[in-house]
Amino acid sequence: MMFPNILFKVIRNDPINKSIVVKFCRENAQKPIDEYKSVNISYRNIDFSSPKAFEDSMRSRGNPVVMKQLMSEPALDENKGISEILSTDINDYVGKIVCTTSDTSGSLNRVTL
Amino acid sequence: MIDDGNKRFYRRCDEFAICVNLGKKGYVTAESPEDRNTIFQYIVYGKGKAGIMFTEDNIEFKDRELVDLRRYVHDYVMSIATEDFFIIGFNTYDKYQKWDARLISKDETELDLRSIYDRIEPVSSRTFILCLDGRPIINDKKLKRYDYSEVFFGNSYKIDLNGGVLGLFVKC
Repeated sequence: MMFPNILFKVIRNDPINKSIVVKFCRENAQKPIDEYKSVNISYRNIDFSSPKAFEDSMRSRGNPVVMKQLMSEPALDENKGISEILSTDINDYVGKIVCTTSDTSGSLNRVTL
Repeated sequence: MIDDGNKRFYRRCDEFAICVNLGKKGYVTAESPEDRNTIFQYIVYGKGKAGIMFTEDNIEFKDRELVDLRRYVHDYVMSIATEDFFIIGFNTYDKYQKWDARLISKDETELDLRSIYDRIEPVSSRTFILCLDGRPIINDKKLKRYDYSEVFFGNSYKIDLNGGVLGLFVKC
């Protein structure tokens, strides 16, 4: 799955406790990065060996944070969809908003004969 | 290995699971035995080849064929599609569980389970029908793809494939 670019902003460096405070968000987020919650990252989870390695550390820590932000964004009222239309006739779908899950697993349909 | 040009999804029930793969010619997969529980594949369309990695042991598959992959279930398996494909894989939850399978032929207008169940010794087998294509009709009930049912010896099952495909899977 491709992600949009991730922004990070180091808010504070705490050498005594060997950690940094960082904010993350998607580059195409709908509010400023300063409005997102900060996360604390221990030096132990950061690779300081090069600028690129540092950036890689921020990416790996930022990915789940940004995904969580994305999943918690509210849906617009205009985008509320119905869960399913029990039809294979495409005409039954025209003009309707249908909400399908991104989960690729599910249950087989058992029928009684 | 999954890419955007290929679609894969899973459907489960208590006894087995299916994985469905649709993709383009040239698609290559490599699976370890830890990830692989597929013992049969039905080829809705497409052609290709699958076999044990780095060996000459492989089989070719083609349209509307049920492919027996049981002997590969403990191996590292590679496959390549030589045409665009739509494949339904039948997966066991326990690789050491014995399963048999076949497609129901168009001449079978009534399901005969005597060969499985009509024996002197006790039989613990369970038998399932899985709709693999089309809209076959059993006992006047029209099935759709991925519908399944357990069938029981002694019950009557009138079958009209109606141009569709039904798989019969026996958990031995």
